[in-house]
Amino acid sequence: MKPFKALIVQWAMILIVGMASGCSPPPPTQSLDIAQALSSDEDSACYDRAKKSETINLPSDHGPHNGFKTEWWYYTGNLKSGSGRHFGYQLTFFRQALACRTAPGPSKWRTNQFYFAHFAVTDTQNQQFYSAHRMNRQSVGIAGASRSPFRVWIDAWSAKDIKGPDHARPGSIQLTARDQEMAIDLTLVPEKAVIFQGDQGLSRKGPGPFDASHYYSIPVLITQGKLEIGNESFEVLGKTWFDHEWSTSALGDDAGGWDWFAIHLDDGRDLMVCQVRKKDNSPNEYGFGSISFADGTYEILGQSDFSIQAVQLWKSPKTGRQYPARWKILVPDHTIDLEVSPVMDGQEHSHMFVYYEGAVRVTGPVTGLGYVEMTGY
Amino acid sequence: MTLLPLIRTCFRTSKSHPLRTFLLVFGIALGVAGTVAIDIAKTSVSRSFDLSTAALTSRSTHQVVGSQFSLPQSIFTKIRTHIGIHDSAPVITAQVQVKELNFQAMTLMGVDPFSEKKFRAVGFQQQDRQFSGNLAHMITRASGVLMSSSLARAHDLKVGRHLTLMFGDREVQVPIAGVIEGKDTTVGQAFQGILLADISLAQEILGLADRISRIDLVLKDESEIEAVKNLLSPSMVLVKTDQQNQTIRSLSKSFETSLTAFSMLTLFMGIFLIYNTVSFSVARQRKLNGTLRALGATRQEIFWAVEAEVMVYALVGSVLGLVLGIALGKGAVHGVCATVSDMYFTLTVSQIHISPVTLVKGIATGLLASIAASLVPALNAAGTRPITLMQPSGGETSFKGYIPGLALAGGGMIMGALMIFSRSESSSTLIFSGVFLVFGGSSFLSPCLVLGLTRLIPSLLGSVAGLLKKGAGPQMTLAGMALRNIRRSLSRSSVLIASLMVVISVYIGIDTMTTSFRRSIIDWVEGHIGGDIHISSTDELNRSLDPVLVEKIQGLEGVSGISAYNIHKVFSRVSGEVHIFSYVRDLSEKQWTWTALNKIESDAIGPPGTGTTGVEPDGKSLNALLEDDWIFVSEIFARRNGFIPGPGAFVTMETLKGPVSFKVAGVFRDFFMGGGRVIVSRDAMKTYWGHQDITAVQVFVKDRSAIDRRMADVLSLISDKTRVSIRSGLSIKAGILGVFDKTFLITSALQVLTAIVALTGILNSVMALILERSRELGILRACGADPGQIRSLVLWECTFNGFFAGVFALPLGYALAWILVYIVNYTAFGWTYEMQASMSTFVQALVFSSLAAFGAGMVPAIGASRISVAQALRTE
Repeated sequence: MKPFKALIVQWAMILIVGMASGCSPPPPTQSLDIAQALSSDEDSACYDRAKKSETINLPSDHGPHNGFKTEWWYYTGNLKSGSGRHFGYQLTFFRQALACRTAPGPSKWRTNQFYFAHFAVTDTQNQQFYSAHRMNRQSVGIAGASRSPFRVWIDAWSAKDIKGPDHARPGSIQLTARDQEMAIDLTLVPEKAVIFQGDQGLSRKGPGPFDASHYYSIPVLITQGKLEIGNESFEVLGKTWFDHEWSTSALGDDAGGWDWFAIHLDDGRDLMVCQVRKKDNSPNEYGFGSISFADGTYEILGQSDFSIQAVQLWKSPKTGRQYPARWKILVPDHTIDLEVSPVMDGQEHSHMFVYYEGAVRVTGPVTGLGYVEMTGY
Repeated sequence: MTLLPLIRTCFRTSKSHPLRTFLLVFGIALGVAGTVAIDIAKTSVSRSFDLSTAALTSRSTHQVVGSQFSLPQSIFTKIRTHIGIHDSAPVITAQVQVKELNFQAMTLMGVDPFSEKKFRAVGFQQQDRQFSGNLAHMITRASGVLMSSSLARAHDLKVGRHLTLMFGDREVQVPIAGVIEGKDTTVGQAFQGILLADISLAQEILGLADRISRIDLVLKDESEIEAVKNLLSPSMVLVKTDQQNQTIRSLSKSFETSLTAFSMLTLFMGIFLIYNTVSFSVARQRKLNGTLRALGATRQEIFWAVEAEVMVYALVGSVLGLVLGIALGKGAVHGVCATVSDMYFTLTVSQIHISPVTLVKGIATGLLASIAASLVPALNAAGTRPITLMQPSGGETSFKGYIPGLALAGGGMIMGALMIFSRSESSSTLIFSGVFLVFGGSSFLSPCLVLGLTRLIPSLLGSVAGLLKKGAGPQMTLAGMALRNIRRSLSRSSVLIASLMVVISVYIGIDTMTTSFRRSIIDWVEGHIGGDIHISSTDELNRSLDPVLVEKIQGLEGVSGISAYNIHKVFSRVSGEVHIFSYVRDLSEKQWTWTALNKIESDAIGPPGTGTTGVEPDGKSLNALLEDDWIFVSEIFARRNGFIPGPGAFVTMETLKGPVSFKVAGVFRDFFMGGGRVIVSRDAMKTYWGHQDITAVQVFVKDRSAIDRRMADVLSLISDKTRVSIRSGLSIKAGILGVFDKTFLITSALQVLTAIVALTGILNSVMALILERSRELGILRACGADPGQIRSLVLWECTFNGFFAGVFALPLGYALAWILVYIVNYTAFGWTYEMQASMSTFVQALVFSSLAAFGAGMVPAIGASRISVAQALRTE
C-alpha cells in the first residue's frame, strides 16, 4: 500500500469544500488532522471492506470497485529519449466514494463518486519538474472508470486497455495526458507477472480486523511512446511501475507520514518498500514491501525484512518543508544495499496537495532507477 | 473690531429671522437632496446590474450558449474529454420566485462545484463545520440549495427549512442546505439574489432532462477557441464573455443615461435654487453690513463674516440635503429596479449604493453653489463705502453694462448646443453638455430679454389703460412702475426670472416627454394587443397550447377572429435575448417606422429616430415578403444590430442551422426593452428554430360587452385550467401601462421637486427684493401712496417676474422636451416616438409660474404695505 495515496484521497475530501468555494486550501498542518481523518470510520459501515475471502481476479479487477470508499491506479516510470535524455513521469488516478449510494433523481449529474488525478514529468537534464492535477465528479462521462475494457479517466487524461493485433499481450495500456507545459502518449506492455501484495492481495495496514486493502502491482511495464515538454517532443522508452489498490480502511492514529520506493534494479530485480512513520518519525510495525525477481517470481517483505535510512536532507524553497534527499536501503536477506538519491531536487507537488513524488537513481553494487513518495514532512 | 463678534452678530440676525434662515437652509438642502437622490438612483441601478450579473457571468473568457438558451450536456463532456479543456463549467440558470422570501425573484443557479474554482468566487465560512457537512451533502446528494446568509437571516430562515420555488405554474419545495458567506462584501451582495444548487438538483427542479443553460470557459489561445468551435453544432454559439456582459451592461446604460439626464436637471435646478437663496440672503444683510462698516469693521472682516455665515448654513443645508437625498434616493432605487425587472432583466439584487462620490458631490454642490452665490454680494458688501451699503442695490448700473456681453455669451452657448444636437450620434457626455449649454445660454440671455419685455410692455399697458374705464388706470400705472422696478433691479430680478424659467422649463420638458411617451405607448399597446381575450400557457417548460383548442376557439359563437402565434426566446450574439414571433394569423396593427416596400416605392420615409411613421404599408405585400423568408424587426432590434434601413438590407441571426442572414421587410415601433423582437413566417420559425407550436392566442369578439361571457366560453373548452392563463385584453393593456407608468415615477417625483423648488426659490427671492426696497417703498408711502397701492405694486412686480419666467420657459421647455424625446430617450433606450406638445401644458406652466410668483408675493406685499414711513426714511 502507498499510504499517502489514501491520505491524498482524504485530503481531497476536505479540499472539495475549498474547491467549491474558490478559496485557497488552508495549510494542511493547520487544517487537517491526517491521522484522525484516516482512522475515522464514521459513515464507513455501509461500504465494502477488504477481506481475505475476496481474491483478486484479473483482468476484471483492473476496473473500479465502487462499493469501497477509496481506490487508485498509480503509474510511475523512468523513460529515456533516443539520445539518452532521462525523464521521470507520474500519472495517477484516484476514486473516492462520497456516499454509499447515489441519491435518487433522474439527473445524470447525480453521483456518489468523484475522481482526481495527478500528472507530473521530471526533466532531469534541464532540472525541471512539471506537475498538474484534475478533479471531477463521475458524471456525464467527464470522469470514471470501467472494467471491460479497462479504462480510467478524467477529462482527456486516461489509462485504457489497448485492443488490437499490434498489442497481443494482454494488459497493455495506453496512457494519455496533456497539460499546458507537458504531455504524454505512452503504450505500456506488462513484462512481469502481477504481484499480489500482502497476503495474496490483502494488504494489512493496522491492528483492526478491517484495516486492510486489496492491493496488486505490476512491477514492470515496458513503456514506449511520446513525451512533450513545451514545444519539444521526444520518442521515449523505459519502465513503469503500476499499483492498483482499493479499500475502506483507515490507518492507525499514530501514523505521521510515509516513505515509499519502487525501484527497477539493473540486475532484473524490482523492489518496493514502504516505511510508515509514526508522529515521532520512527518506523511503525506496518511497513511492507515486495521483491520481484528476473524470472517473474516474487517475495513479499515485512517491516523486519528491510530498512530505509535517510542520509541527507533537502529543504523545499517553495513550501519550506524539509525532506530526506538521500537514502540507504537495506534488504539483508537478498543482499541488497542501495544508495538512493533523487535525479533532481524539487520534485515536490506544491499546487494543491503538498508531497514529494519523484524519480530516483540507485547507485552502489547494483544500479537502477525508481520512484520515491514522501509525505508527512 | 475682531471677526468673531461680527460673525456672532450675523448669526444673531439670522436667529431673529427664523423664516428667512429656514428658507436659506431649506433651499440649499433641497438643491443638494435632488442631486443626491438621482445620483443614488443612478449608481444603485448600475450596481444592482453589476451584482445581479456578477455571480452569473463569472471570470470566463468565453461562453457556449444554445441558439435557444439551452444546450445538450453532452457538449460539455466533449469539451472535457475530446479536447481536454478543464477550465470549463456547466451552468444552469433560471428565474424563480420564492414564496418564503415574499415572492422575491431569485436566480436559481445550478453549478458543478468541481468545475467552479476558476469561475465564481463564492466565499464560504470555512470554519463552520456544520456548513461544510452540508456542502458535501449538496455535492453528493444534491440535497438542497445554498442561499445568502444575510438573506436567510433577514427572513428568519435556517438550514433545513424548505423554500417554495415558483416558476410559471410550478411549485417545487427544496430545503436550504447551507448558507453562503461572502468573503468580501461584493460577493456576499452578489449572492443576495442567487439560490445556488448542485447542477443535478437545478436540472431536476427545472425539468431540463439532459440539458444545461450554458458552458463557461477560460480559453487560453486561438487553438483552444478553434477546437471548441469545431465541436459545436450549428445551433450552438461560442461568444466572448465580455461581449455578453456588454449586452447586459448596455441595458444598465439605458437607465443610467436617462437618470443622468434627470440628475443633470436636478443639479442645475439645485444650483440655481442655492444661488438664488444665498445671494438674496446676503443681499438682505446689506443694511447690517453697512452699519458694521460704519462702526469700524474692515472690508475683509465683513467679507469673512458674510462667508462664514453662508458656509455654516450651507453646511447645515448640505448635510440635511444629504439625509433627505438618501431617503428620496432609496425610494427612487426601488422604483427604477422594479421597472428594470418588469421590463426586461430581473434584477435579483436591488442594491442601494451610496457611494462616497455621491455624497461628496452633494456636499460640493451645496458648498460651491453657496460660495459662488455669496461671493459677489460678499465682495460688494466688503468693497463698498458704508453709506452706499446702506442704500439699495448699488451694483445695478454696473450690471447693465454686462447685459450685451451676457446675451452674446448666451447666444453662443445656445449655438454650441445646437451644433451638438445636430450631430447624428452624440455621446451621452456631449448630450448633457448640450443640455447644460441650453440652460446656461438661456439664463444668460434672460436679462436682455427681461429688459426688452419691460420696455415693450409699458406701451401695451398704456394702450390697455387708455381703453379701460377710469379706475383701472391707477392699476396700470402701478403695473408700469412694477415693470420699471424690475428693470432697475435687473441684477436681482433677472436671476430670479432665470431660475424660475429653468425650473418651469424642466416642468414643461418632463411633462411633454411623459405625455408624448404615454400616448405613444397607448397607441402601441392598442395596436399590438388589439385582442379582447388573451390565452397563453402558464407552463414555463412547455408553452405550447393545444392546436385543437385554437380551432375550437375559432369556432366559438361570438368570436370574430383570432390572432394565433408562437413566441420563443432565442440567443443573439449582438443583443442577447431576442423574442421571435411567428403568426398563424396576425390581426395586430403595427406602427411602421420603415418598410422595404415604402423604401422601394418612395424615399419619403425618415429613418428611425426621426419619429416619422410613414405611410401605412400594404399589409398584403409585406406578408408576401414574410412568406419569402424576409423578417420584420423591432426598432430596438434594428438599432442594436446596427441595421441601416435600405433595400436589400439584412440582419444576421443565430439559428439551429448556424448564423443566417435575413432580409428585413420592415421595422416596427416597439417599447419592450432587451434585445428586441423579430417576426418571422411560420415556415421560417420551423426551419430555423424548430418550433411550429402555438403559444398564445388573441381572440377578437363581435360584441365587446360580452367579453366576460366569451371568456367563460373559452375557459369551458380547456380541460387543465391550471396550465392556461386567460386574461382580458383590457387587463393586459392596463398591466403593460402600469409597467410603463412605473418608469414615470422618477419623472413625476422630479416634477414635484420642480414645483417645490420654484415656490421656495421665488418666495425667497421676492422676500429679499421687497426687503431691499423698504426705503423706496417708504418714500412712496411718504409721497401719499396708500398701503393698498403698495401691495398692488409689489404683487404686480412679483407677477411680472413669474410671467416673464413662464414666457421664457415656454421655448426652453419645448427645447428640453425635444432633447429628452429625440436625443436622450433614443440614445438611452432606442425608443422613438412623436413629441406631442400640449397647449394645456404651456398654459399650465405660464399660469403656474405667474400664480406662484403672485402667491409668493402675498406675504412680502402685506409686509411692505405696513412699512413705517419714519423707519424707512431714517437713513435719508
